[in-house]
Amino acid sequence: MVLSEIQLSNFRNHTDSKLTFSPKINLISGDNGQGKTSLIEAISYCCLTKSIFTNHDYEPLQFNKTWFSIFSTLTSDIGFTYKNQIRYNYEKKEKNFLINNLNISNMSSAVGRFPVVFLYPELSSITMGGPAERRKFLDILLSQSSKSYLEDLLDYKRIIKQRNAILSNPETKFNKELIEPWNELLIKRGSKIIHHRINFVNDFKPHLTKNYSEISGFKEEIDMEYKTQFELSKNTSISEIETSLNKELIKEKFKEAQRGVSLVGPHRDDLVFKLNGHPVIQFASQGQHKTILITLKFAEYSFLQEACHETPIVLLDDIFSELDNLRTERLLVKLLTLGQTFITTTISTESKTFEKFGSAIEKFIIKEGSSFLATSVYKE
Amino acid sequence: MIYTSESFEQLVEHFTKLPGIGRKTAQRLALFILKMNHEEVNQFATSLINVKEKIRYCSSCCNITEQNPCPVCSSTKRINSLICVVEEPNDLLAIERTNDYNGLYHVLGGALSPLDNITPEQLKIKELLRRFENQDIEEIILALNPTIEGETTSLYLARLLKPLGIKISRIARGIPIGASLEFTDDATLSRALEGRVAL
Ligand SMILES: [Zn+2]
Repeated sequence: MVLSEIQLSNFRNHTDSKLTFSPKINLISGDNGQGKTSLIEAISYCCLTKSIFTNHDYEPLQFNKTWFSIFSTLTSDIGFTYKNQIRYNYEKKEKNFLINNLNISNMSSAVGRFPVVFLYPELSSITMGGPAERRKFLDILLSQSSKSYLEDLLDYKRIIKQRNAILSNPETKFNKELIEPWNELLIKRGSKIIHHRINFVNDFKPHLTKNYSEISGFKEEIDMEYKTQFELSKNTSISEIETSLNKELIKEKFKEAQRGVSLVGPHRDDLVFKLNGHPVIQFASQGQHKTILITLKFAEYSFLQEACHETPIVLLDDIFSELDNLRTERLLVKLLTLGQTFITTTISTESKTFEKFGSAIEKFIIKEGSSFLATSVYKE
Repeated sequence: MIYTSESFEQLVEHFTKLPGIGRKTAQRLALFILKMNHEEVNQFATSLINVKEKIRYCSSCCNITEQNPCPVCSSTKRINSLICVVEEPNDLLAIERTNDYNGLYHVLGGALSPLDNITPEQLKIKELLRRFENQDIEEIILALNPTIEGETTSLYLARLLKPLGIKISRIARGIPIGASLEFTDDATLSRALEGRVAL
């Protein structure tokens, strides 16, 4: 997938920006607060129908404005052109996603057609933070690679919300007839989600191993494991997971009523990364954490490319700031082997690190929400 | 710019209470009413009052009706031992449009949703159970919307009705996920009815 053009109106600090991009690396340089990150956010809107930074569509809306819109032109690997448009109206609380002028009423159906891999500083919490961050990583990746996963996940989230409403209400929390249908659905959807995640971990491992040795140059063995609330047998089946979930629900019945929340199911699971058999979260150094995170993203890229039959767009927000010149250069060399990439940085486009790459990198300077193509300075 | 009046504002206010109507649309609708002739407005107002005063819930199937029991329940051409359970009157109309169904209905008035405080007591479930006392019912088709709430309500009803020893089925998931019955095309709905599965 290649994003060739984007036009933003009333979006963050872009009142009216229009940009044309290179199908390889696009380097977007500017000081903080000038609108680099909002460009990444806008691209996520065009591909995933939503922001990767917030769940509230009113947040990117400019002060005193009632609507924002983003137009984009995307071309698939086999040459189809898509004009994706997002329109958000604050007064009507209305959001529309259009592909080639056709309103997509079920927005989740578009997820996965325009795959993206993204990385921004806060995502370091995938390897260093709590389980919720890792579940989010799994959910976003799997939602893009599998339609049925996304459907099950949306259902599941709704089930948990509804079930919590019963559990937190003193009048209903012990009502067996009321809660049992919800248990049945929780088990049905929950076991499918767990099964899907376990299979994913198995399919993902080769991508992880291959990329880790390439990126780190070390012989350490990287591994990941899905951790759920009960023991899993090898090649576990959905019906086995259903039985286990049912047992857990019975076991935790009173605790759930007491605390008023759902305590059993995939929304409590975790993903464990390991280096040489040791859990990364406890034993890895800062440098190792960074390497693993970047590895994860490259693995995500090749996994999604395979699963979606489409080359993902790579969005990297401010990831050079903690890397030295040599590592930045090495990363750029590897990025050149991928499809289209967008990189934001506070480093000047005139920096020597980028000079070497000549016209292989298209450079943009962003100032107060307007952007200037900087390539002319470097093109010979 | 309109230099507005109190009665105009009041009308706008009422329109904004309707689902899917924002302030701007409400103003446009109110302006439209203002331009209608007197008789038209009268008819419009009367029909608003009529829906509230004349329409009742059928004492048997709980559908909205002006005669009790409703035309479906009092028809002699319908199979009295078959009941199709739906959420809203609109869903009933959708199934009627297929011309493929010849049994009776039961309108629940919604689906279970703890988040919205919709419990079994808010739905016409007691009324459904009562029908088993007066009628010889052999089969129940659950035709609730393919949402999580519809699915849970089906499960709830299936558990409730199982001890009665009747045949219980649910319409197949031929209906697009997230879509509601009301907006499903007739052919799809027909197929879904045919392919109903036992619960
Ligand atoms: Zn009736």
